[in-house]
Amino acid sequence: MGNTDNGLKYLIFVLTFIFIVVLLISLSKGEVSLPIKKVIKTLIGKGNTESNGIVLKIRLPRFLLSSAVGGMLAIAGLIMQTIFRNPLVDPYFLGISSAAELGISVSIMLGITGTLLGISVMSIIAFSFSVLLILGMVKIARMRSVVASKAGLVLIGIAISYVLSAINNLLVTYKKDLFLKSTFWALKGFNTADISEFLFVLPFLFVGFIYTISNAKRMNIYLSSDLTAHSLGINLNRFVPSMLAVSAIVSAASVMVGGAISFIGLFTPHIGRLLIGEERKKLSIVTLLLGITLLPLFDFISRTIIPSQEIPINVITALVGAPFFIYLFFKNRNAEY
Amino acid sequence: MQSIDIKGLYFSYGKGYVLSNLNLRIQDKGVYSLIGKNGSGKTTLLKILIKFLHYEKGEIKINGKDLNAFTLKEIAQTVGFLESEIPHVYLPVEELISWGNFPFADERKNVEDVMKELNLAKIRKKSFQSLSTGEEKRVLLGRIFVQSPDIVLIDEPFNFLDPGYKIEISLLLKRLGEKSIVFIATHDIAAVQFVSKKVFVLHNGKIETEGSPDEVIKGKVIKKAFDISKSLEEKFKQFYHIDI
Repeated sequence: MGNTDNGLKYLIFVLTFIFIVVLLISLSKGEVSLPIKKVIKTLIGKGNTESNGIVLKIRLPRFLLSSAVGGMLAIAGLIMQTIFRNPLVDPYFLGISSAAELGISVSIMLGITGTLLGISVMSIIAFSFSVLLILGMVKIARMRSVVASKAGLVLIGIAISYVLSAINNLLVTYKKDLFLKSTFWALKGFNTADISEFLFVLPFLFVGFIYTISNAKRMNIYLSSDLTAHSLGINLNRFVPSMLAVSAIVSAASVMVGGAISFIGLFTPHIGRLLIGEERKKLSIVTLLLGITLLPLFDFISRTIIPSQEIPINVITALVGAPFFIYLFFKNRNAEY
Repeated sequence: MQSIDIKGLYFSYGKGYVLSNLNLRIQDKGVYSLIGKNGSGKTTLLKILIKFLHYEKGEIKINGKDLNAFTLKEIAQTVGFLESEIPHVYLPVEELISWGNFPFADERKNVEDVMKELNLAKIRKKSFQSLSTGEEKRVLLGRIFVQSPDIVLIDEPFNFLDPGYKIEISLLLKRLGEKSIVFIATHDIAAVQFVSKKVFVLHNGKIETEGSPDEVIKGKVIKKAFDISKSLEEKFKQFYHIDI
C-alpha cells in the first residue's frame, strides 16, 4: 500500500478514528451499559454519580492502561524485530517475562506485599528482575563478537530464559501455592487497572516511541546489514545495545502492570508493515496506533464476550494471534523475509 | 588531495596472517582495481579501511591522516563503501539513496538531483527488493553519488551482472573516478581491463604486482595471481583469450 506521505496521513486519520470508536464502545458497554451520549457527557465532566463511577473510576483507567500497554508492546516488538531483522520475534524474546515471573515468585515466597506510589511492590520487584536481566543482556551484546552474530544473542537469551523458568518451576515445586498465585499474576490482565499504574507506565511508552522515531533513519540503514550500517558511521556496539535496552525496559514496564500478554508485540508491527511498509518512521507511528487500539479492543472482548465473566486477556490475544503467527510462517516461506 | 597509503600491514583472523607486510599507495583520483583469487584477502583489506576490522601491525593513512585518528563518522564522510552482498530490504529506492547524506550534518547532495542524473527517478518509490540486480547496483551507486566521498571502496561491483549492466556500472565507476579514488575488489578480468587506471594483485597477503591493466592482465602475473594450474592453462587461454 501507499508509501506516500498522503498514505500515512490517511492511515493516521483512519486509525485515530478507530481508536476513538474503541474508546467510546469500551467505556459504554459492560455489566452496565451506558449510552454513548452519556459516556461523552461524562468524559467532558457532565456525568452523574453513577456514570462518573463506572466511566471515570473503572472503565477509563482500564482502557487507558490497556491502551498504554498495547502501545508499549507494539513499540518494543518493533524495536526487537529491527534488532534481529526478523518479524518473528516479540518483546519477550530474550526472557523479559520469565525474569518478571521469577521476580513475582520470589516476592510471593518472601511474603512481600503492599504498594509504593500506588504500584504493588511485587510488580516493582518483577520489574527489577527484568531490568537485571536486561543489564546482563546489554553487557553481553556489547561484546563485539555477539553484536556481529545476532544468533549468539538469541541463543544466550533463550538459554537465560530457560534457566529462569527452571528456577521458577523449582520454587513452585517447593512451595505449591505459589503456582496459583504466580499464574494468576501472569494472567493478571487489566481488571484491577488503576490510574496510577497508567501514569507510571506512560513515560516508558513516551520514551520508547520518541526513541524509535528519532532513530528511524538509523534503523532503516541497520536493516540492510551490519557492514553497511558501520560504513555509514553507525557505531553498532552502541546502537544495538541501546535498541535492546529500550525495547526490554519498555516491555518490562508493560509486564509489570499488565502481566505477560502474548502476541500483541509480535503482530502489531507486522500489520503496520503490511499497511505502510518497512520505513521505520512511518512504521513506528502506525504500529503505535495499532497497539494502543488493538489491546483495549481485545480487553473489551475479554470482558464482554461471556456475560458477567471475564476471560483472561491472553486467551483472546492468543486466539487472534496464534493463527496470525501461523499465517506469517506460511507467508515467509514465499520469500518476503 | 585524496590518498590511501598503506605500509607494512598485517592482519589475521586468529591463526596465520591473511595480510602480511602489505604495502599499497594510491595518490590520485581514478578507478583502481584489486584482484586476487577467492580468499586472498581483498574483502578483508576493504573492511580494514572502514575500521570494520582492526589491523595488528602497520600504518594506514587516508588523505594523509592516520586511520586510527578517524572517528566512525569521519570515516563515513571520507570513505564510501559498498559490500559485495546486496541487502534484502523492502525500503523504497529513494530512501536507500538518501543514506548518502546520513554521515553529514547538512545535506551533502540533493537526492532528487542524483536520482535525475542517474535516471533513477522513475523507480524512486519502488521497493528495493523488487528491482533487478542491475537496478539494485545502480541504486546502491546512487547512494555513493550522494555521499560523494574522497574515496570509494566497492567489493565485487560486477557480481551477478549481465554484460550490458557490467558496462553500465563500469561507466558509473569511471564517472565516480573523475572526482574520487575508486578502489574496487573484483575477479572480473574483462571489467578490470576496461575500467582501471591501475591494477593491484593481492597474493599471499601482499601486493605482489601493480601496474596498468595492460602490464598486469597478462601471462605470468595472472597465472600466479589466480594460481592457475598447468592443466588449466590451455583452457584459460580459450576462456579469456589471454595468453598466459
